Amino acid sequence: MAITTQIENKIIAYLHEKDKRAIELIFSHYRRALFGVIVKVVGEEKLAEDAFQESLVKMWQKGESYDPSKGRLFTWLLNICRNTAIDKKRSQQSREKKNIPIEKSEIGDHVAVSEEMNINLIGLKEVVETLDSKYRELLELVYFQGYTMEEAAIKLNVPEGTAKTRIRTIIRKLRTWANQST
Amino acid sequence: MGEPINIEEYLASGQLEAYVLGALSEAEARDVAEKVAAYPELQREVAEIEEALGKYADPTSEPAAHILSAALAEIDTLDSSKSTPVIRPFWKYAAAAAIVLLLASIFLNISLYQQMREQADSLMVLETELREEKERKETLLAFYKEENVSIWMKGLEISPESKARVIWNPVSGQVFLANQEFPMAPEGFQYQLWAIVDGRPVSAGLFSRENSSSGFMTSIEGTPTAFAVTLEPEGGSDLPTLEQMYVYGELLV
Repeated sequence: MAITTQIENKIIAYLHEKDKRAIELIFSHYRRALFGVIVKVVGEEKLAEDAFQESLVKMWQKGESYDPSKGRLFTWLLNICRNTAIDKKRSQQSREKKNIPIEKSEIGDHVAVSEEMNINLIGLKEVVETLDSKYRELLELVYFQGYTMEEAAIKLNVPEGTAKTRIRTIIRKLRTWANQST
Repeated sequence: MGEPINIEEYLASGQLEAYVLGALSEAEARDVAEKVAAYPELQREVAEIEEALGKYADPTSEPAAHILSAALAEIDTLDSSKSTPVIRPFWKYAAAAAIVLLLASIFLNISLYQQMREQADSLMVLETELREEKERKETLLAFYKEENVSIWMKGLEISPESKARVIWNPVSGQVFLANQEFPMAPEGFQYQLWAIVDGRPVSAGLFSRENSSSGFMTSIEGTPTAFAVTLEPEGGSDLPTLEQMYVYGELLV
C-alpha cells in the first residue's frame, strides 16, 4: 500500500498533537519495514517485539519534536526503531556476556556474523545475495547500524560519493525486486 | 532559496537514498528536504525509495498485533489527560499518616484530661483530709491548754492488766481517752466508756481496740465521780454490763 502524502500528513498532525492514532497509523503502514530492521539488528523475535513496542511508545512521546523540514517521516521512525534495537541488543549482550560486538568500531566482525545469521530475516534473499559483499557491508552499516555516509565511507575506506552511488544501486535493485513482486 | 540543480545528476548521486535512510548529517538533510519540497521529481523519487524500503521486509517478519495494543496501553498510562486521577501514593500515605497522628493526638488528649481530672479529685480529697487533721490537732491543743482533770482507770478481775486514762474538761464536758491498754474485743463486741454522774452511769462513747489511739469520746454533762469501761455488744448498751467491767477509776477529790 502506497503511503500517500495525505496519510503521511495525518500521521504528522497526530504526532504533533500527541494523538495516539498516529501510532495506529504508523503501525498500519510502516510496520513491516520498521520491524524488519529491528529484527535484523536484534536477531531474535521476542526481543524484537519488545524493542518494537518500546519504539512505538517513543514515537508517541517524541511526536511533538518531529520536524518535517529536517527529514522524512519514515527516516525519523526508522531512526527511533534502529536506535532502540541497537540499545536493546547491547544490553542483552552485556547481560549474556556474548562476544558478538555491536560497536561501530568492530563493524567488520559484526557484518561477518550477520552474513551467517538470518539473511532470511531481511526477507529479500535473492536481492541481497546478488549484492556484492561490499554492497552488503555498506547496507549493513548505513541501514541497520545507523552510520552516516561519511562514517561508513571512512570505515570502508571509500570516497563518500562512491558510497552514496553504491547505496543508490542497492536501493534501485530493491525497487526492481519490489516492483516485480507486486 | 536554493540554486537550480541538475535533476538527473542529483538523482544519480544517491543523495536521496542516503537522505531517506537517515544517513546524512542534519545540515545536509535539511538541504535535501528543501530541494525535495521545491522539486516534484525529487518528491516522486523519495516516495519510490520509501516504498521499496517499505516492502524491504519478508512477510514473515510481520509483527504481531499485540505489540500495537501493548504499546497503546502503555501510552494510555503515560497520557496524563486520559488516566483517571489517582492520589499519588505519597499523598495517600501522608493522608493516612496524618489521620493516625490525629487519632493518636485525640486519644492522648482524652487520656491526659482524664488523668488531670483524677489528679484534681485526689487533690481535693487530700485537701479535705489535711483540713480535718488540722482541726483535730487544733482541738486537741486547745483541750490540753485548758484545765483538765486526769483520771486513771485500773484493770479489774476480768482483765487486771487493762488500763486507760480519761481526761475530762470540767468546763466543756469533753472527755478524752488516752493510754489505753485493752485486749482485743471479741467479734461482735465493743468497749464502752461510762461516766458516773450523780450515782448513775452515763455513756461517754464507744471504742474498739482498733481505735486504740487516743481520741475524743462523747462529751458529758455534770460532774462525774468515776469512770469505767465495760465490754458491751456492738453498738453499745443503755446501761453497763457490770460483770463485764474491765477498768474503773475514781476522781481524786
